[in-house]
Order: sequence, then structure tokens, then C-alpha cells
Amino acid sequence: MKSILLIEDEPILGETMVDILELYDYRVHWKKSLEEFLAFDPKKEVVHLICCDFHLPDGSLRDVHAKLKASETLSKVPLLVISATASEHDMDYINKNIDHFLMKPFKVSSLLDKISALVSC
Amino acid sequence: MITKSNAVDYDKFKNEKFLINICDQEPIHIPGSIQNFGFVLVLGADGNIRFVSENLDAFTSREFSEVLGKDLSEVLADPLVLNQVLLESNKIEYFYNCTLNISEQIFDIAILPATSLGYRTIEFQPVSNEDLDEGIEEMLDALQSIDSKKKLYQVAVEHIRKVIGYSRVKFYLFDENWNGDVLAESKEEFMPSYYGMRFPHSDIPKQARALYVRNKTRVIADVQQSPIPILPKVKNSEAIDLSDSGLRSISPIHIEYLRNMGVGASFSVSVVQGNKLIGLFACHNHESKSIGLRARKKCEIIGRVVAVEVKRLELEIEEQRRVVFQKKTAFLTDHLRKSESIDEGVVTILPQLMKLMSFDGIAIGSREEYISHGLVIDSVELMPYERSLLPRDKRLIQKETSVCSLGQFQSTKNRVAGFVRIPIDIDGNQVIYGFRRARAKDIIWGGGDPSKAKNLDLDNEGEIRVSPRKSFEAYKIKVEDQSEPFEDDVFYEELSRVFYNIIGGVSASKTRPKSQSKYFQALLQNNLELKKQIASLKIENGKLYSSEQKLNLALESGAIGTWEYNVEQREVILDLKCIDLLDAPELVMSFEDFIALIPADYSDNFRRALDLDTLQREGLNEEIRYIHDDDERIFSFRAQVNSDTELDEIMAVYGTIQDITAFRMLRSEIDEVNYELQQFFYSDLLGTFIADEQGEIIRCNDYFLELLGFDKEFFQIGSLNWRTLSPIDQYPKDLDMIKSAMEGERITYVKQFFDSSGKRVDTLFGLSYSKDSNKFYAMVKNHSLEVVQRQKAERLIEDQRRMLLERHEKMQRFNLDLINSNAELTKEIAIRKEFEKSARLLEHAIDSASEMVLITDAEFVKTGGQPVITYVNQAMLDLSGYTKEEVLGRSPKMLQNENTSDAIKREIGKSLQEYKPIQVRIINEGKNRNEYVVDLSISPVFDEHGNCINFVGVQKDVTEEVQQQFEKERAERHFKMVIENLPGSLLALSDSQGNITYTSGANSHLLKKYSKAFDAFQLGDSEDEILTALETEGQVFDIEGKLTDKEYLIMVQQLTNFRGEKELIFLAHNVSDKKKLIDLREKALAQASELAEMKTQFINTASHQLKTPMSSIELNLELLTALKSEIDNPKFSKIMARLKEESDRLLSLMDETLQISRINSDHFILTEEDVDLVDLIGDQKELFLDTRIYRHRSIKVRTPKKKIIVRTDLHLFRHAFHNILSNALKYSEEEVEVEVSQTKTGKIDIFIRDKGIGIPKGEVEKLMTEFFRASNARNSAGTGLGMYLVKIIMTKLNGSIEINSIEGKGTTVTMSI
Repeated sequence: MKSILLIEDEPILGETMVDILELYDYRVHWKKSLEEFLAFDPKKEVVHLICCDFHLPDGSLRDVHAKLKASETLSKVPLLVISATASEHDMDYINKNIDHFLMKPFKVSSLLDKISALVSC
Repeated sequence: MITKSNAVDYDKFKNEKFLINICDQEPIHIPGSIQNFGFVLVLGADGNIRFVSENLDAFTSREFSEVLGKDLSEVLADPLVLNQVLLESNKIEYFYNCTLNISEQIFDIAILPATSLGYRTIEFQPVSNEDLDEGIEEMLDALQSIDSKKKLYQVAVEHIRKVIGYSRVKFYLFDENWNGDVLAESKEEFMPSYYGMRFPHSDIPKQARALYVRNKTRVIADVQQSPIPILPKVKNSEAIDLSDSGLRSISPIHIEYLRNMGVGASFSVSVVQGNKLIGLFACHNHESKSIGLRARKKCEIIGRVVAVEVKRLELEIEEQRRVVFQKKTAFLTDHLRKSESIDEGVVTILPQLMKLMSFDGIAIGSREEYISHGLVIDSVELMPYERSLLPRDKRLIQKETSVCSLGQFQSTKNRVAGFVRIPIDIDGNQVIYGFRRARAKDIIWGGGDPSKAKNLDLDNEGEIRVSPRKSFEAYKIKVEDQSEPFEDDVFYEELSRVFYNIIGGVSASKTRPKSQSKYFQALLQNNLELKKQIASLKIENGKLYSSEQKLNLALESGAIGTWEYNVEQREVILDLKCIDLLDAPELVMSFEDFIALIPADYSDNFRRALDLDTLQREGLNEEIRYIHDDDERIFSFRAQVNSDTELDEIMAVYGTIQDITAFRMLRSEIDEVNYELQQFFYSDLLGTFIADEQGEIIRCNDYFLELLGFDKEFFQIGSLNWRTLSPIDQYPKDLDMIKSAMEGERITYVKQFFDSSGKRVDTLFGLSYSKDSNKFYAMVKNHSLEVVQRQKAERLIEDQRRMLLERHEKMQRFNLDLINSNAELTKEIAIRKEFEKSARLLEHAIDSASEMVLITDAEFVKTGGQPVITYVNQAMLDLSGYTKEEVLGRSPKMLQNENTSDAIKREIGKSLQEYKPIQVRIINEGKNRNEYVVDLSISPVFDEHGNCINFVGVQKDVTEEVQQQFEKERAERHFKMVIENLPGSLLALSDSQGNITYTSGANSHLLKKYSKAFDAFQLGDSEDEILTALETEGQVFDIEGKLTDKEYLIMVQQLTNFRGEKELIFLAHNVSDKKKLIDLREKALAQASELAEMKTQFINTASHQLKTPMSSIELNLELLTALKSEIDNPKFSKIMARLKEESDRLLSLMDETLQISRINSDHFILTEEDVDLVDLIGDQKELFLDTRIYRHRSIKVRTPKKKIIVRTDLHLFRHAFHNILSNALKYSEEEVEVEVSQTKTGKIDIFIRDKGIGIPKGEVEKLMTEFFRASNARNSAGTGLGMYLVKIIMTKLNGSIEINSIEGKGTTVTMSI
């Protein structure tokens, strides 16, 4: 079973995504804030994909990204960014630094397609 | 092919050079086809196969078309080859024993370097059985142990034939014109031999030579085979450059050449040194025969070894020759260096130099003049050739083996055939010419007349074509007009260098340090001897000096000839001077011929003196003189032996010959002068003597002795001293005179001597002195008679002189009287003239004065009439417009303007009556009624008796001045008016240091209490800066300052007042109000743009916020769809709840967004009414407690007893309160308290307190920004717009809101209105 690290501050959206992903046989570690994510120890849990919102209550994707790059294990894990952001500043960052991105709102199918593609490679 | 229509002139094509050019231009490197003993693939830049030779199927199982466009890996799998194709390389890479995917055969592969277009050609040749290494070592051993070039070539051809098995292998060596001489050959019996023949350069065209250098072997396996095209065909076959290809097909012309030669296959191996093709192994087989890649490589190695070995052998031979050459040149140049003059030195060495260089004639010199020896071309005839040389060519060695080609040389007909021109100075003007005579020689050309080696024919279609010759039979040409080639370049250069060192040095100074050779010593000695002889004849006489100078000049200009006797060869070499002196026929002659030149009477002496034995026994050091038979010239021969000191062997005798005839003649001339002088010395009229510096008389004549009464017999050296013969009183004068004489003067004076009896004798004494001999020469004459006569004459002259002087003085006195009376007259005339002059000057001055002058009489005062004008000046007339005639005799009143006041008129009248001067300003009028203002001053003029005779009026036109004064006053009035009336402006004047001197303007009283302008305008800090700027940068300076608390814009200007003092003007304008306005406008603008920015920000965030619940709804709906068959699934209700919640959130988001937008809208209008706050709070409390979630909560309301009525927008206020209360309930669990209080000012505060989770520190401020949600409130539903909306509402309602909170303890929100 592949496991996914989900970073999403919206409670309902987060819950729904956990439901969906579990339905499709993924194990989900749901982190609701940057703080929770930073506390995550990649040595204890193996993750195959990181799925992350852009804006977090106590930070942003930038902070998450920095941590990922610094970690030997996490830097190799594919990163999927999910956001509803519309600001040019954020989009600029995504275009320059992020390979995989999903714009809110999205379909379950596109989420699953992306995830399965990223997890399998 | 050249079509006829293009051909201009058929005959022209017969020109050989043109033919060669056609071949030179044939593009043989890009034929677009190959030979048939292998196949070719051409890869494009992308690595795919672009071209294939048509014969692919002959070697593989594929048609060429099957591999076109395919990857190379289709054809072969060898990774090394595949990899090499990808690499860049500029040389051919070979791979042996490769297997292909498409063939059973094994191949050797050559990958050619990429062409400029990125194409790579790969050649495939089936593997032969040859072993690359077999026999190579023996072969190399054999080649590298040979000591002659000829043998080397022979061994090489044998080996090559062994390797390739062709029926004939021959070796060509190219000459400088690219003709090839066959120097070695190995062949089957049946093949014709070409050994010893020469093949013309046109056999191998230029570009073929270039390819021979690049590809060192070249095989033509079958001359009958037609070329295999490389497909697909392209127009521009440059794409496939086959320069490096071993399979490249052959030029049709070459094929024809080979066919004509009768061979079936051909193979060549190049011998290349550096980049130069020096020779070629040309191999032919009688029938077709291909050669494998390995055999070719092996032959290439042989070619390379031969190239190296040839070089080695050449170097060895050259080195040997060089050693010999250097030894000989060293000897010659040593000789040259020791020679007294270059010309002589050169002349003596020429014969040997000629022999050494194997020339038949030699010449050294420059265009104008050569020194030559042997068979030469006359310098005059060389002139045109010399002129034809460019400066660059002149500095290089030039060779010509067939001078006939340079034109006709009459003097050399059938003699000189070639020459080499060796420059020996820096410009190449000084040269050595080496000449060689013609040598008849046979040259055997391989195949007919070489000038017809290739022909232009008309082919069947009538087109001109180039075809090679058909015959290869030997063709003998006898060459008669050519010399041996000049090949010893190294020696020529060495010669050039050696001579450059000598000639170059000499031409710079024309002299060089005298060497101390014995030869030179002989010369020197000879010279010294002569000089000594001349010195012995020297007599102190100017004439003799000049003769001696002449002689020296003659000696120094080379009147001495030199000769050299080579004892070993019994040869004598003469220099030019010798030849001239002895009239010798040649420079070099046998000893016997030399002796024969000497008159028979002396020749035996010579022979004996120069006899080897004598020389060895005694040396030769004596002079032999003889008188020439014909012209009685006298010769002096001297010689010195130059022997090798180590071997004690005589090498040469060096000698000089000198014509001393002139010397002898000079000597007799001197004798004559000597005689003449003696005649004078021993005169009977004059006493003469010669004395030394002490006065001792060395020699004297008889007359001198007689004069002083001495006996002739008495005199002998030391017996008389002329100084002691002088009386003592004569000494001072004598000393003076001796001194003068010793300074070079010839002195004559009257002198007394004592005679033999002690009596004084008066003499006229002449004395001179020679510094050269340190002797005095004196002449003594009896003087007694002359003295008396002269004294008489002198007295006579003195009397005459005195008489004349007296007469002269008388005349002078008379003259003086005359002059004095004249002077008085002149003086008076001058005074009068001066007076007239000054009167004229005065009148002229008055006339040209700018002031107007008018003079009247003064009669009228007494008579009571009118004044009459007697004079006016030009200025008066100019201004008034009257002429002199119109004015003179009339009254000055005619000039008065009617506006002149009566008071003034009276005043003038009074002054005139009292004869007093007066000054007034009046208005006058001209002829044209033009008014003008004048300052008039009238003065009376009195005569010497005190009577007034005239009045002089001087008027100055001040019209303009008055006008200007008026304008100035008006401007000042205007300025003052403007300043006084300008609101907020004031003016201050100050001195240059800023001390206020004057103020003006409505607010000028504000300046009253300041003494310094800079203090008043609060500019103290920048005072220096302003003063400096005014001084250096300009006159005006704008600065912002202050007066009291108002902003002023101050213009400071520096002016110079009428006293020449610097003054500062401060013009200050109150700009406070203006500034305020500007500030306001800027603020408003900033706010507007901020607002616009905020709006954009808001829309961005709002859309983001809308998307999140939308995402949830979307996902949950999909999830619902996925779960549709499981309605009992416990998740189902959870999903439904989520859907509800998110959809609610969407709704309230929309609602709040709309509200915000409505309130923020410019068109929003408050609907104000009286609102009872207590009622409102009560209603809200009920509303909340009625709901399901809050019904068990308690809300405590504390209000004052009375009603609190507020005029406000009920709807908005209620919304705000509702929001706050809702939050208080939502984020707490205990009781919520609402308190209302009213302050004395009428402000109403509503406190809403809860004891809930509170707001984290630092987030309180952000709480009222849009979409902000406290970090501890994320799990609750909310839009993040609530508090923002509250804030907007409270701002709109002119109220305020304040939040105080401690995280975990609770929050108090205060609404103030």
C-alpha cells in the first residue's frame, strides 16, 4: 500500500480527500498545518507522495518546499501541489519550482490520475 | 568540358598553361562516385544513412535503397564503430575485421572525418588475408641502414612490389618544377621500363598533388571499371567530400592516361616531407588488381620511412659539405678581414672563392661597379635585370639557369648560361654573382614532347576536351643553353652571411680597425719609412708643408698596391692597384708571369729574394727598387713572409708595390727651395742670423758680421749671442719684441747693437720665430741715416698741422655768432606758430564738442537791446537744425521754447545785467519745433581791462537723462505698489552679509525684529551655502524658508547698487496654503491607488476562498456518486453534512462579500433612524437563545436604566452586533456578557465579553482584515470576512471597534458609536 503525506489546512476538504484516497487504497498522513508537517519524521514513516496546499495557516508551500529539499529522504519523494491561489506571485513560484500542480476545484479523477502516475514512478 | 560557344579562341587553348589550368581546376575530390572494390555509406549530421554507393548489394544482402534513411546500427552492431561515428575526429579512423548485420563477409572499415556539412563517409572493404605486421620489421631494418639515396629508393620499390604484387613499381623524385625523374624501378620482364626518364609536371595536376599529400596511398583497382555512383544523386556533390576516401573514383582524364599507358591497375604511395610532396612510388599492374586496406597501410609506412631517410641522408651529406665549405670560407674571410681595403681583399680572394663555389665566374659589388673574375656577364648588361628586381627579391637569393630567358647578353653569348645572385648587404644592393657556363645535357622525357603532354581535342560532338598524351615512348631532348642548377643554398646563405658581416660593417663606416697582421705591418712600416724621409727634409716653409700634405694624401688614398704570393701554388694574386701600377693582364698569374712584369735588370733580384729557400732561411724584409723602363717611374717593392707558425711553413708572401716617382720629384723640389732660400740668407745687403732661444747665434751671414765689425773667421757656434750684443737700455724693448715674435708676429723695430769695439750701431732689426724649430730668424740693417731724415720730415709736418688748426678755430668762432642771431628769430617764429596752432585747436575742440556753445556780444547790456549771436558751434547747429547763417547776428531768444517759465527768463536777464555766471535748466526749441531740455550755463567774458565783451553760453542736452529719470521713478513707484499690495509677499534688502537695510510689503512688519535676513527667514544654517552660490553660480537663488511659522518661497538675488556695493534682495512669498493643498492632493491620490490595490487583492482572495468550499462540494459530490449503491454507508451522512456545511459557507461568503462590496460602493447611502440600543440588544439575545445550538447558553445584558437612543443605520448596526455576539458564543462555552454604557460626551460603548479561547497574541491586529482566521479557530466553520465586515460597518457608521483578548482566557470587543 502506497502512503501519501497530505498537507491541507481546510478541515472539510482535508477530510474529504482523506476519505477519497483511503477509498482508493492509499494510506494518508494528514497534516493540518506547517507545524504538524515539520513534526513529521520521514524516518519513521515511508511516504511515496507529498500532496500539499499552497497556503497554510502558519506558513506556505515555500516553507514546506524548503524542508523537503533539505531532507535526504523527502527530497526524492514526488510533490503534488494543490491550490486555489490566484495571485501572480504564487503562480510565479509554482511555475518556476513545482513540477506537479492541481488547481482547485478539481475532479476526483484528475486527482487520482495524478497521484497514481506520481506514486508508480 | 568547355562548349564551343563559350570558347573565345580555339588557338588560345593550345597554350600549355591554359591546358594545365583546366586540369588544375577539375574537381576530382568530389566525383560523387567510387570504385568497385568496396562500398560507402554516408551519414548525415543526424547519424542516419543519407547516401549509399549503388554497389551495396554486391557486398551485402541488401539493396542500397533498403538502408537509406536508416540508423547505422541497422548495418552493423560493433559498438566501437558506432561510437566513433558520434565522435569528432579530423583524421581517418580504421577498424579492422568488422562483421556486419547484413553480410557474411568480414570488412575493414575506414571512417572519414566529417565534412563541413557534418556528413561522415564510412568506407567498407572486404578483408584481405594480409597480415599488417608481417615482415614490417625486416623491411624497416632494410630501409634504415642505407647510405645512399639511390639505394634507398631501389630497396623501397622492391619492398613495395613484394607487398602489393604489382607488375611494375617505380619511384619518381620531383624537381622544383614538379617534373618527376624516375630514379628507381622494379618490374616484371614484360613491362616496359621508364627508368631514368623524366615525366612532365602536367602529369600530376596541382590539386592531385594536394590529395597525394592528404591521402598517402591511392589505388585504382581497375581502369576499365566505370565509377559506382553514390545515391541518391545530388546536384551539389560538395556534400560528399571524398578527399580522404580510398575508394574515390578516378578522374576520367587520369583513367585515360592510365589506359594509354597500357596498365590495368594503378597504385601510388606518396613520399611527403612536412607538407611537401617530394616523390611518389607509382605502381602499375598489367591487369586489374585491388589492394586491401592493410597492404595500403604497409606501403604508406614504407613511404613515410623513405621520406624520413631521404631527409636524414640529405642532412648528412649537407653536413659533410658544410664542414669543408666552412673551413674554406673561414680562410678566405680571414684573409678578407686582414686586407687593408675591402676592394683589395676581395680581389685577392675572388679566384679561390670561385673555385670553392664551383662557379665559372664571379663578381662582387653593386649595380654600378663589380669586381669580377672569370667568366662573367658585363655589369652594363646586368643592369636591366637588376632594375627588374623588386626590393623584396633583391634581398633574397635569385637563381637563373637559363639566362637566355632574361634577354640577350651580348658578352656572354655561348658562354654564361646561368647565375645565382647572392645579396650581401641589408638592402640587397651589394651582391655576389656566381656565373656558370652552359652545359650540354640530354634529358629523356617519359612519353613524347613534354610540352604536348596534354592536348585539347575536338571530340565527336564537336566539343573541346582535354585528353592526356597517348605515347609513353622515351623522348630525348638535348639542352644546350642551360647551366648546372644552383643547389647549394646553404652555402649561398653562408656566403651572404659572411660577406654581410664584412661588407655591412665596412659600408657603414668605410674604414675599419687596423689589424695587426704581418701583411698590414709591412704596409705600415713602408708608410712610416716614407714619413721619416719626408721629415728629414722638412724645412719651415709654407710651400713645403703643402707639398708634404699632398704626399700624405697620395699615400693614404691607396697609392700602394698589394700582392700575395702563394708559395705552394706558385701563384701571385694582385690587387687592383697592383694591376694598375704594373699594367698586369690578370689578377691571378703564375709566379713566372709576375716576375716577367718586372724589368729584366731587376727580375733576378726578385727571383732570388722570393726563392723559397731564401725566404725560409732569411725571410724577406728588404726593399727592392727599380726604375720602370718606359716612363722612368720609380717603384719600391717590399714583402713580408706570412708563415704558419705552428708548422714553420711558409704559406704566403705578402708584398706591396709603390710608385715613389712623385716622392722623388718632391724631393728635388725641396732641394730647389732650399737653394733659393740660401741665396737670400747669404745676401750681401742684409745681415741675417739664426739664433736659438737663448740668443746664441747658430748661423749668420758675412754681412751681419761685417756690420758689427766682427771678423769672418771669428764666428763659430756659441761665440756670439745677439742678446749680449744689446746695450742694457735696449733690454725692455727687446723683451717686448721677443715676446711678440714668439707669439707668431714678424717684428721690425729700430735697435742698437754694440759693435766689436763697444760702439753703438743704429740698426733696423727684423725678428721672427718658428715654433717648430724653436729658433729665431733675424735680419739686421744699418739705420743711422734713415733716423735723421725721418725726424726732419716729422717737424715739417707738425708746423703745417699747427697752422691749419689755428685757421680752423677762427672759422668756428665766426660761425657761432651767426648761429646765435639766427636762433632768436627762429624762437619767435615758433612761438607764433604755437599760438596759432592752439587757437585752431581750441576752435576745433569747441566745434567738435558734444556740448553746445553759443557766444553773444555784451553790448546789449549797456544799450538795452537784444544780445546778438556771434558764434555757435557745430553741436548747437546739429541739435537745433539751423544753419550758421540763420543764427549768426540774431538773438538767442529764437531758440527759446514758449514753455520756459518767466521766472527763469527773469533770472537769466538779471544775471546778464549783473555780468554774473548762471546755471539753469530750460526747454529749447529747434527749427522744426522739436523740444529739448538743456542745462544752460552762461558766463561773461572780460577783456584785460575788466570790461565784459562777450557772454558764452554752454548748453548740455539732457532730454534723454530727464526722460530716463522719469521712467526710473515711475518703475520704482510701480514696484513699490506691487510689493505693497501682493498678499503674503514681502521684500527685504540687505547688504552683502544679509543685514537688513530696507523692508517692504504687507507683512514687512514681521521682519522688524530681525537685523539679519537669514535669521528672519530661518536660513541661518544655509547662509554660507547661499552666499557662496550667489558668488559663484549666479545671481539668483531660490530657497524654501520660513517666517514665523509660515512657509515662504524666497528668491534671493545679488545686485550691485549705484555705489558699487553688493546688495542682496530677498523676495519672499508665503506658500503655506499652497503647500497644504498639495499635501492633501498627494494624500488623496495615494489613498485612491491604495484602494484600487486593495480591491484587486480582495477579489483575488475572495475567489480563492470561494474555490475551497467549491472543491469540497465537488469532491464530496463525486464521493457520493462513488458511494451511491451504499446508501447505508456510515460515510454517507457525513458527506451530506459536509456538503451542507460547505454550501452554507459558500452562501455566507457570497452574502458577506456582497455586503462589503455594497457598503464600500460610492453610491451606498446610510438609512439613518433612531435606534433603541437596549431593544436591539434584547432582540438579538432572544434570537440567539432561540436557536438549537445556543439555546442552553446564557447571555447577560447590563444596560443603563434609561433608553439609549442612537441615530444610525439600524440594519448595518444590527449586522455588526450580531456578528460580534455570534463569535462570542461560537468561541466560548461559558456565559457571554453584553454591557452598554454612555459617557458624558455622548459616546456610547458596547462591551461584549466572553471567556472563550481568546485570540493568540499578535493576531488581534489582523483579525479585522479580510479572510483572516485566527490560528486556533480553523476547525470551526467561518468565512474570515465577519470581523472585516464589522470593521467596515463601524467605520461607515462613524463608530469604532476595539478588541482586547488573552489567548485561553477570553475576549472583549468594544463597539463605540
